[in-house]
Amino acid sequence: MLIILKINNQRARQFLIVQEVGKSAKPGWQAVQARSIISKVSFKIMLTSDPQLPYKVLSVLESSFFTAVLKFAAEEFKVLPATSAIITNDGIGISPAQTAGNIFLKHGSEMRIILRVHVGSC
Amino acid sequence: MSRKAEGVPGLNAVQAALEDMGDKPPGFRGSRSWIGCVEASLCLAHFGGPQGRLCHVPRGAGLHGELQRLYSHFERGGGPVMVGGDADAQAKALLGVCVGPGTEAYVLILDPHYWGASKNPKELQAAGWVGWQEVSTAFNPTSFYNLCFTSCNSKK
Repeated sequence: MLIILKINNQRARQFLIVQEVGKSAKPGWQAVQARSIISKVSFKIMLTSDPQLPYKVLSVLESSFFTAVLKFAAEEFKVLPATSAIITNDGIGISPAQTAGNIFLKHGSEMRIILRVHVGSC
Repeated sequence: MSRKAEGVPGLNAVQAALEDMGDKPPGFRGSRSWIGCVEASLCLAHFGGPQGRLCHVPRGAGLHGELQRLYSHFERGGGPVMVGGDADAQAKALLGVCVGPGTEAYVLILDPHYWGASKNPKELQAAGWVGWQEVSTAFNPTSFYNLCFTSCNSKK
């Protein structure tokens, strides 16, 4: 069963409820019990270094660290994660050691991936 | 977690913060690896300094497309804008912008590489450490740039 919960008009979270059917004391009835809730969040990530501004939509577990989002986005756009960074549409840098769910709640789903200046070591 | 800034953090603290927040891999502390605009903006947030908003200028775009934003930034009292590029690896700080009626435009550039004893403003200007430069010549059209717009946090 898939339930989409709207937090506000612009943000939504998806909940996947895994159910197991068990026995009920009442004849003819079957008890359903939520076993676990697996929630995912989706991000729309735009590649700003390309004038066409291509984008990808990635869906990850909300408990994933945001480093996974950066890694997946970089792979999709064929850029190196180490020389890329994800920022919000209004330019806030994302510290990657936060969960995807936390980032989603703070900043929403629309992000940009940018190239970093990387000239080795001094 | 951000903490209230108590002066400018030193290099060790900056490296430790970047490693601890997961932006840099283990071993970054004590290394000579590069710190650019993205890292600077993360550290500004971490240490509770001025807000730093990032803007990416793709290769070939040049800075002409950002002149209006730069103008508005400084007009509203915004702070220095840190600039780093790839093909143009010379970091800069923008302190002002002057836009004329045509396509000519100038930016006030501070070279952050100065070190040594402090000098008076006239000496710094005469030596080229700070000065107005025409946008087309100051920025390499083959380079991408990251700009970090700094401004005071309204919550401070």
